[in-house]
Amino acid sequence: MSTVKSVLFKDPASTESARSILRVLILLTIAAAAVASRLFSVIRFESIIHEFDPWFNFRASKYLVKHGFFDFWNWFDDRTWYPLGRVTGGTLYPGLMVTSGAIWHALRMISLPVDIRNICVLLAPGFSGLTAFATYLFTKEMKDSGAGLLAAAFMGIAPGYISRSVAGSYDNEAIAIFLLMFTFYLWIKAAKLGSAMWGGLCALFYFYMVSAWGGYVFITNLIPLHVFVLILMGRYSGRIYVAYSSWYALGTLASMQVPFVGFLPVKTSEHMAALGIFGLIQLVAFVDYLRGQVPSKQFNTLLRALVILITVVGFTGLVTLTVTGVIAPWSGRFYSLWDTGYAKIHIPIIASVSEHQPTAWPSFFFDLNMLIWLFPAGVYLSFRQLRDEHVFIIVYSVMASYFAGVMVRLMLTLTPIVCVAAAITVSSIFDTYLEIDSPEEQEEDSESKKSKKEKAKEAGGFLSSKAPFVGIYSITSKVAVVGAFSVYLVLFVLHCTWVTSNAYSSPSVVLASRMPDGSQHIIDDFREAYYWLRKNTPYDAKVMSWWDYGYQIGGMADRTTLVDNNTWNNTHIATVGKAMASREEVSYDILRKHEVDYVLVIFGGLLGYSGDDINKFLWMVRIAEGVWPQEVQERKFFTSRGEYKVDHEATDTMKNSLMYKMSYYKFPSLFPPGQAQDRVRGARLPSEGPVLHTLDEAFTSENWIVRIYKVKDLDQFGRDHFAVSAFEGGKKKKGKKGGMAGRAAGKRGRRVVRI
Amino acid sequence: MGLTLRSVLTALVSLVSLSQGISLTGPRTLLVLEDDVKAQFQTLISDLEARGFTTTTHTPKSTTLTLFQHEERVYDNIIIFPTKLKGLGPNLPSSSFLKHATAGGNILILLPSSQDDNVPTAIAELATQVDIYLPPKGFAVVNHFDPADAIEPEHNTLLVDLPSFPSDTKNYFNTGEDKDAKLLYRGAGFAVGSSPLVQPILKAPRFAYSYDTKEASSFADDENVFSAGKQLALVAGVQTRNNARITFVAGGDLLADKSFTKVAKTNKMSGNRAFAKDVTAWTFKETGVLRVDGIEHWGEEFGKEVVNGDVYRIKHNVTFSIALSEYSYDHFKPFVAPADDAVQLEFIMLDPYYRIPLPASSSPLTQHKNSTTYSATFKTPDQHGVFTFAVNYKRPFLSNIHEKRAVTVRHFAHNEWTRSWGISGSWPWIAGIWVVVVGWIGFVGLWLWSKPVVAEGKGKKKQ
Repeated sequence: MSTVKSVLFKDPASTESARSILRVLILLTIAAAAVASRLFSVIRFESIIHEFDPWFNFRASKYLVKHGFFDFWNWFDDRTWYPLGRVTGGTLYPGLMVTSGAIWHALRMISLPVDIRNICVLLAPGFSGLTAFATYLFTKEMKDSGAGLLAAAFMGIAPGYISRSVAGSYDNEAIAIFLLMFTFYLWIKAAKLGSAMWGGLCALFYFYMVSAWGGYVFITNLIPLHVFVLILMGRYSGRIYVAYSSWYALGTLASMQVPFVGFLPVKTSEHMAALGIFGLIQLVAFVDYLRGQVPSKQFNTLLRALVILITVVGFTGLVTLTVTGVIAPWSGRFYSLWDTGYAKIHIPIIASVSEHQPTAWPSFFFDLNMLIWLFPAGVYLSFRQLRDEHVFIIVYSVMASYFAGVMVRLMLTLTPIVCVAAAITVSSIFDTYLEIDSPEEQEEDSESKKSKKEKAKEAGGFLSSKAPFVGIYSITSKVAVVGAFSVYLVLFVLHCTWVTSNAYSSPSVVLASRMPDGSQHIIDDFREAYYWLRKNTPYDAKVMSWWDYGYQIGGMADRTTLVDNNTWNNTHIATVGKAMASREEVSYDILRKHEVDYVLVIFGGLLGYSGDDINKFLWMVRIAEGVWPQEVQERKFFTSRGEYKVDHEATDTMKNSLMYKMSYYKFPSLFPPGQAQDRVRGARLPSEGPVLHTLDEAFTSENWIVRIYKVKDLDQFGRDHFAVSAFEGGKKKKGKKGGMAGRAAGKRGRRVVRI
Repeated sequence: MGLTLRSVLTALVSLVSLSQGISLTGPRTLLVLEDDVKAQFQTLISDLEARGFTTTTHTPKSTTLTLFQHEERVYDNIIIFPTKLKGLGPNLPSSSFLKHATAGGNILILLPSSQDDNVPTAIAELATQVDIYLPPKGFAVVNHFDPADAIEPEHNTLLVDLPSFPSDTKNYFNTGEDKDAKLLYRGAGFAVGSSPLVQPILKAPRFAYSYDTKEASSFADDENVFSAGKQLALVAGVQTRNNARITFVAGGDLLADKSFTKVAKTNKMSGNRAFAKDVTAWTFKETGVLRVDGIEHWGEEFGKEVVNGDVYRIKHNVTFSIALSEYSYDHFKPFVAPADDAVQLEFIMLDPYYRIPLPASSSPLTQHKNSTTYSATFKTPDQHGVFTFAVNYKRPFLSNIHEKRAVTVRHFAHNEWTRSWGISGSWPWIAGIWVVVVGWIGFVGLWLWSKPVVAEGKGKKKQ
């Protein structure tokens, strides 16, 4: 046995260089695997920007590359939110665009002119390799490089992270997760070493993170929480003080340089914890200094009492300041983190976003697979050692688990810690079961055991951390456990690959379906319609659509939009909702006032595309109702039995709404009489389709997914459009305006007095 | 070479002669009349031809008549003369007139003066579409208080004053030599709806009314009166949104030869012939047509070098000017707004932030020949967004001016704010910063260069 060992594993010290080469190779392989698995979308479809937000980021990147940094900084975008415009330079997180812009310039500098689109498409996969590396560093600080490599591998392919970082998913999260992990690594390093340099580096990457993603608030709260827990555990030390103070002071000042953040770090509740801990740690440091001067056994108790008192006083002060309005109250998105029902009642615009919904439990298994059950074990193992950095893992796990349960998109912040914890577990299992020697032969083991015990004692940890070391004696159990885990790991890789290729690689701009013979059929209605807009409408045409499509219209069609995914102005969105939900007479005035030329709706009834505007319609109604409760009422869109219907049972309000009319205009003519079928809602439509008076159908895409209508101009002769259609339809003018059909105004003439 | 030069010259000459055409729409005029009617309107037609119109005559039932060829207007102007027919021919449905006007062509419609004559269905439909309401057959306007001919028992021929309008409206219908001449009128009148596109040109005298002659031969009760007084229009002009003009004359005799005579009562010539000229000139766009010769806007930040730029900044002065001229028969002349009226400028984002009068400018940036420049300077509001300079000048009988120029009003860029030291309130804070900086450097210097006095004390501390 020992000969085998001596052949296979030489003295660790002598193989160190070989090991480090191996580690580099493994990390490079992991990075390559991480990048490669994200390229499914490019291979399946093409090099294209995905979904919604990335289109804005892409557009902003193009602007940055074309006009330079300062113009980008002061960018006033007059092609969105017409006519309000958007101070885009001051209301975005520029980190992502600046990163790709810098890469673009760097590549040009070395004579590699690459199209900005390709940089944008491949930025997320590229950064996923770096994320794997950051995770390696982070985990290495927690356990050892073996666990680090496992964590890097997990992070590289975990679907929870891939979902936001496939090629083409050019969103803030693409670089933010790397920055998150790297900032945490630097923080752990700073806290371990008590080094102002590492703290400063941590602040630097914190600044990068702030400039890249609104999720920076997670770091802003997690690091103070870590420090706070350490202080409560009585683990305050000079190292913590130096690390935290240097990070907070530099990081906060740096973060305030981002225009979108500005004075938020000293004004809003989300940032108050960090400020409070900064104040607290100064007091603690002072008290600690006093203790150094006056040693006393009661001092510890006094210190704890003081800490708790100050916390209570600080918290009360915070509440008072918030109530009196000095500190801005928590934003709606944060309320919805505590109360999942809050947004639904108060801020429909937040609730209407699918990624703000609470997570369904299967998605934990879908996104993390076996990691999710290894995760608690990893947290448990952290408890056993419980050094300062392990407290961080525990705090992070608790917070991230909660938030991931509340909001689907925050699964993203949970994924790294799950990978780290799972890697610690698997690595511990392998450490235990891959030991070729049996424990009794080993003298070192008992020693190491002892030392561990002592360490744990020194740390003043929990009972669990004093558990005796138990070795594995039988080869069978070793093989069985290691074999089982190897199978699990293979299955995990298979699962990740399958999920990535099937669930997360669709650009959603292009839809794919299977033909009966199994071949892939591409449904390209969105681009068809956007390209039609681009080629057939004047450059300054204004296109109204629901806000979901604002970024895509801006990015692909390059036309002015009224509202987009930025959703900064609820009233403007409600105006669009009102226009969609009202009768034509009401809508037409809104359209004229906003100088709308084209109206775009998404209709899935022909193809069975369920994400269409009729299914989103109730959100438009709700948002409009929030602003005009008298004019738009959600109740009126439901039948008397409370059902949302589009067939002949639909209410009059529903049938007369602009959205309904635009969606089903001429739709029944596709079918034999009486056979019109809406495949999304499974409803049979009335054979008489809706009639449009104030809009003309301008374009309908191949599968009817996108329908574009042109807003009619005012009538040349001052008639309203209903009269025009009546006249052109051959019907004579009747009623109050007419009199004897077409002949005259009757014997008594017009009784309206003209002044 | 010579040939091409000649052809170019010919083209130029023909262009020039075209541009000398009197109507802005064009000279091609269609006369829809029956042969016997033509004789009644000889003077009107010859007056038109004398002013440069080229006339083509068709009967209402003509089968060769077509208003559009290859989707282009064949005629610029159409005159429908009174006819005894109940309906116009198949080539003249009401929709063809609407199409003609939509394409920018003008129409003058003369309704019959005799209550026994029909109004063609197509004409009545057209009238309804533009908010003019004709009485049924058999109606006539009477004025028992001021009949033109006291001997005539029906009092159906009226003496009407030439049109007069409030002082904020330009009068294009009283340009004859004799401003006090009376018009001889005979017809049924009509009622005008509240559409802003319709403007009555000639209204009935206060005591005149239109009544059903078949029901009551010499008097009328309330049942049989169609309309009366100022609510009863005799001539009305419609100007569509694209500035095509349609004029209804309720009583074709107003423009007929037989009215161009002396009025027995006053023993002076009637004003009809001059009025006929005014009505046709307005309808066929010889008068009352405005033209925008130029729009210029510039801001103080770039000065007059950048004119008509796309971007302005909040809270900065902007000057807007518009040059307007008016067409008068054969030439453009400076447009002078009536004394009680003003050309206005709106600065709009959803709603107007400004609505200010544009006075005539004495020293415009660009001198336009034959036009008046209206100009105003104002400060952009403290609100960024896409704003529109809008001049929405729509007045009776003047062609519509609706000019919009969208510009971006942007926020201050990061380097356009006053620097911190430029704000006196910030001085204590700046001083505070420098005191800290200098103090800290001084402290570090002291710390580094002052030798510890007692070395033993330090050693104790270490333990």
